[in-house]
Amino acid sequence: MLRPYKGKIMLNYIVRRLLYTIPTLLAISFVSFSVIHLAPGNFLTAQCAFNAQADLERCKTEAVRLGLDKPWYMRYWLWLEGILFKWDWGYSFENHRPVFDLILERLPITLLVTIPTFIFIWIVALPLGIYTSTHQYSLGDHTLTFFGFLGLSIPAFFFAYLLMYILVIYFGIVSVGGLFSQRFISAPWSWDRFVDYLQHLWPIVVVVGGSAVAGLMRIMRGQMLDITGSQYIKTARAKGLQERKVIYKHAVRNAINPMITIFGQSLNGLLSGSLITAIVLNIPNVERLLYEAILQKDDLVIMACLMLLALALLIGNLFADIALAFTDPRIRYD
Amino acid sequence: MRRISFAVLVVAAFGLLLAGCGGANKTPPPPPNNPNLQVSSSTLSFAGEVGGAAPAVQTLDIRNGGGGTLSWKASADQNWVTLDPTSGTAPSTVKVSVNPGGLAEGTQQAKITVTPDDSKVSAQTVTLTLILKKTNADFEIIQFDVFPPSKIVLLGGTVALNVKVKNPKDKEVTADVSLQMNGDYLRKPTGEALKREVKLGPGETKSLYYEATCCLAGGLAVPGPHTLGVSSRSVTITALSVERTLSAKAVELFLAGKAKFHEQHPVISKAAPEEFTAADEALNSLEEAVKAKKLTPAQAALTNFTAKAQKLKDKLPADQTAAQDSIVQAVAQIKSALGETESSGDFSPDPKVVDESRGLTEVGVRGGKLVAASLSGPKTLNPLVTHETSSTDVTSQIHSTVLEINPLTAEVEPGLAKSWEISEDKKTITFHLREGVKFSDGHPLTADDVLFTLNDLVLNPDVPTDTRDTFKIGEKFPTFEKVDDYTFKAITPEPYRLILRNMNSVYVVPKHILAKYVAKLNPGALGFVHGIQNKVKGHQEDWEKNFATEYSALQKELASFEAAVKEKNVEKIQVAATTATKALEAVKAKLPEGQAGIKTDIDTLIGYAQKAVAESQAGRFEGVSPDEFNRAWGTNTPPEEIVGSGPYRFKEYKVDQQLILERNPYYWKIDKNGTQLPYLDQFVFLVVKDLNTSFLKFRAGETDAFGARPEDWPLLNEGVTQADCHDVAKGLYCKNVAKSWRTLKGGPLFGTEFLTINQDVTKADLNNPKFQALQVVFRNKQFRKALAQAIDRESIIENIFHGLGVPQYSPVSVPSPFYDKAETFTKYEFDIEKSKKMLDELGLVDTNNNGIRNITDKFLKANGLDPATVKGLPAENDRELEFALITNQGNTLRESLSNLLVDDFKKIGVKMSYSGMDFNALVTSLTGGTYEAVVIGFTGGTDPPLGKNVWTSDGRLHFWRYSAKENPYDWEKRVNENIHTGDTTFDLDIVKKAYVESQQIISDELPELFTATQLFLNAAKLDLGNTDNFNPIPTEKQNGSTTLTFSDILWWKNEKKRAETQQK
Repeated sequence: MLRPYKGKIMLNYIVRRLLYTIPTLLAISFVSFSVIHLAPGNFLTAQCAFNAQADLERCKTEAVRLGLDKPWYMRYWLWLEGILFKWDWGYSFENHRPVFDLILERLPITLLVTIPTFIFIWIVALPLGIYTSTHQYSLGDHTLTFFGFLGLSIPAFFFAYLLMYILVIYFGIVSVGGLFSQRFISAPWSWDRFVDYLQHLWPIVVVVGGSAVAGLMRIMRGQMLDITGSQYIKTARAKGLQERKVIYKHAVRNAINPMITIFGQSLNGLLSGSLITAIVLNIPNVERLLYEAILQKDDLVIMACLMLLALALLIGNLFADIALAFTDPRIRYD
Repeated sequence: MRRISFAVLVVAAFGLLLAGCGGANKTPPPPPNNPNLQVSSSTLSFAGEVGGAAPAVQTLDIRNGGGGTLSWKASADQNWVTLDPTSGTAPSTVKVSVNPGGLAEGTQQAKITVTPDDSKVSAQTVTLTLILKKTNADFEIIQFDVFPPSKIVLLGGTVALNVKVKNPKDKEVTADVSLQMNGDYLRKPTGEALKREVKLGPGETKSLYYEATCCLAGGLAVPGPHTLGVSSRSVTITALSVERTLSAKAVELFLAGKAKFHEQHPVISKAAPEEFTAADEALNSLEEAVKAKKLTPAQAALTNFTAKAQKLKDKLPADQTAAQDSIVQAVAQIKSALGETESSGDFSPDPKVVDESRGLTEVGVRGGKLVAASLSGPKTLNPLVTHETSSTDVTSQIHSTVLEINPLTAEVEPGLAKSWEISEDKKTITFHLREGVKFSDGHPLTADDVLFTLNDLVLNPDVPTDTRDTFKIGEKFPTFEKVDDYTFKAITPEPYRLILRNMNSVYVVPKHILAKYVAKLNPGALGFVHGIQNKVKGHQEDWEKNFATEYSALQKELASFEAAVKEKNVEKIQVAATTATKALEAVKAKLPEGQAGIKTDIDTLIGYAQKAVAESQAGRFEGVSPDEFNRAWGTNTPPEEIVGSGPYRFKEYKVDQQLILERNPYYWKIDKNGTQLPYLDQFVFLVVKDLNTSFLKFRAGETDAFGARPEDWPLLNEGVTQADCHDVAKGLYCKNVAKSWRTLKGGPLFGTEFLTINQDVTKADLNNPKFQALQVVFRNKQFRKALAQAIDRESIIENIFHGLGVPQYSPVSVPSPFYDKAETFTKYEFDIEKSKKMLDELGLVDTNNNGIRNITDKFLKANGLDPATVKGLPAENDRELEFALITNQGNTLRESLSNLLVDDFKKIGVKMSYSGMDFNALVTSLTGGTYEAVVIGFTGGTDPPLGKNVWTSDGRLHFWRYSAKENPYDWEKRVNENIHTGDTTFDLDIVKKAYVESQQIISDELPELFTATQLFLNAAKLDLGNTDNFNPIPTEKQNGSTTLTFSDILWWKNEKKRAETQQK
């Protein structure tokens, strides 16, 4: 698969793309920062402006302390300056702690949920997509299509409630919500803890992954149908190639290209996942940090989360493009 | 149906009353035109003291019961009786006063004769009796407060009394105000005599404070009831004795001591066989007691053994030093073994004894953990900078306060302070702290920690704590002073009752841990330079614009100043300080005349520069940044750094998953058995972001208590029958045995949800003349009353609270002790017809028959606005009575409330168009006074029940009429006065009266139209003890989670549950 002669060109390409990332991120940050400040009020509004006990003078000093008395473009510059020259992502108003630490704290849990979910989605969706395309209009196709649409149409949060309710009320299964039982949250890793983790993980994976599987499966099916209808597949069949080879060597390899692009674009989903589901299923991930920060108007936390998600999107796209170069010989970057 | 029958009852009762009155009126009428002299009573009696002040004046009413005019004269037959006036024309009132001066003890009589001028009319006589007694006491006790209010103390604990005496007479007396006790059981800690005498001038009052160590007689503890008192007043105190038990380590130490004693056994037993046997026997009985782990018998056995060992040692020949030493060492070791006590714990010798009065109805057993769900993880563990409940929930468990609020009565009671006294002028309050209280790291808690918390943190402008706001009295703050290690004073610029309440919101934090983060206490050169830089930064915009050259020069100088300090080069620092000062002076010179305040600021900064030099000369270069403290105790702090005096201490936090607290082994409260609280080993906050998930987790048994919502109630009470329920003091208690939990429904919660219409609505759009007409409508009290009448509160309760709510008419929350329990405020029963009639009467009628009333010319003219004078005012038919209603989007309660109100008002022809709004935008429009109508709420509080910023006429949140600042209505002035009374009066009866009056006024004037409040709903595991007293009072401080307030007395009745934590 690796084409060593391409290595140098690819490296050039990667470096160039990485360099493009910087102005893109800057532009994203500027737009995000300005949008955040379009909304009225700030971090102090709730505790100062509409608090029957608050003292205005203290609120003024507070605003100066937090820098909220300055216009937003000045605050943007200070924020940018801190990151560029000191790698200082600022302090959370609410947590009185560095923003960077807050995100780092939530990354492990986020990845503990999203990596298995991702693996689940792709491992399930691709084979099902291939199956439904090769067995078009069969009972299996119809059944899977039915469940696929069902999965797409049920809101994830509702599905989460439903599943949890059924598990708790009817099956008496208590391992719902969160990633561990209370007694394992603080315990070191052990076999028991791992089992507990898996018990909590599967409902999450089913809920979060369910609708994604349905969507991806349909896309894969469509791609496969497109390609299996093309001339060269007919030729391959006509010359008597084994059906297995036709499908996996010719059809799938071509159908997979758009999937790789989709994969790249959904890499930021690794960090966020579905917010409402995260709340319902009680998973303390980065997205929930972002959500709480938005509620509190904790500006710098919002910014850091947005930047992280933007970065993940850009990197994901880059990965997808690179991966495409490997899977599709027609694609060349120079 | 119920309401109708009630109305019938009322009518019936009224009818009865009328009938009664009719009966009384059936006296034969006097002949017409003939005067008839009537006097209100035929006897008067006075009581007084020999040589004392005159008794209160009484009155006689003289009436003419017939026709014509009646003139009269009155006289008394004794000269100690004075009448005023002595003649007049009926009807009149005569003041009767007596002067007991010079009269002897006993009963005196006098006769008053009222003679009419018309001789045909008969005269009347009144008999006057004056009883004079010799006084027993020369003074009265007008106040007698006991600490602790529960009247239970541990032997050796403190009983304190606040007594106020008054001399009712007009001459000086010497009052014997000695503290009297039964027996010799009490003595003052200082050993001072309890005999006291005070001199009282005429009418003078004096506040006296007594403190006594309870119930020690000759060093022996005597448990049981003890009486103490002053003069005629007394109180019975129950003294507890605590059986302390020995720990396993004590046994270990004892056995080591015993081995030591036997080390030289052969030598000793040969030298003094008899004494050795005696000592050995004593040791054996001591061993028995030690192994039984009972401290008191062990101590007695130890005394015996020590004496025997001493005898043994004396008997030994002088040259056998090794043997003698072994005995001495053994005795010392065994003595130290008895110091190892356990289970009762290491608590203050003067602990707070928790009993029924604080909700501890079942004395519990230790062990186990409680898992409670929390909506969010804490943001910080620093109790001073937190302002949201997820953090305060945790810090409230780790720290404790000087005073506490009783969770059953909402009254202030002792906390870390065992008692307090209020000075005569009420401006100084002295707090007496419990001695021997320790922080969770074993470090003693003294007045230094309290003053550190108050002076260096709460009152420190560097610390962003909203607690400081509550201490602000006018424009000033109180001062706090240390008297000794366990006493401190709070001095307020004017009497300020709320300072007692505030002492319940300040968590006392350890100075020995936190002082190092406070800039104020850690001066250093760099700190001062940063101080200058920060201040200068604050003026950046202004200065940069107006004198850029000077400003940039100053920036440069400050940067080199900072560099010099960082270099730690004293000479360079001196030079830099001089140039920086010059740069500051240059800026100061440029400042315009008006900015005197900033000029003083700059002088302060120059002072900082000098201080920076001085600090660097002293070798202190670093200093602490003013922001340092706010970052201290973040959620990533190592547990041993976070030290407090609350029931639990911090063990671990897994971000946004769970937070574990463990028992504070030094907590200062005990139960009546002498067991140190809390009962639970661990308290776990499980972070569950979503309330539905939280409910499922409670159902699944993962959490132990649940602050239920109305929609959860039917599921929680599934399968519960009448037989499972019984009334408890605070509500209805139901057992759900099948699910192994209990539900508790209590009274209404804190908080208000209300509709307000903007009485300054012209501000919403100054160019729209229609708002001028609307403002006249909004300012009309009858209009607001009509609206209040049209609110269907029953359906609000049904729709929003699933029937689990009550209508609300008062701005004060029901759990507050200042709520008008007699409900004398105005209530507005739902009555659409009446409401319509009221609007019709006002002239607000529907002129164009479109279903919406119009603001008619008639109405405007009647209310002082001539429509002709308003330019551009639309014609009557186009002046529909409609306006916009806003509320904060996302608050489902307020959204549904708004929709219901829109429907209700539609029925009376008032059109509101409702729209949701982002909360911050809503606040901007409220505080700007530019809204038309709003549905909003306040959280409500116990005390002061009326938020100052809301209800004082110049308050920042007086948003229904900001123009009240310039011209308050009379009723608003009265509410202002009542708030002032509430703040400054210590006599709760007076305060309550003032607040009741405000409730009457506000419910009548209706600036806010109150709707309904939800009832307190709670579910908890059946085998969790002491949960019967859960009630809404604690929800004021710990939003929704009563579990937290009672966390120190909760316990598992189930042994398996208790054993859970022991596996670790």
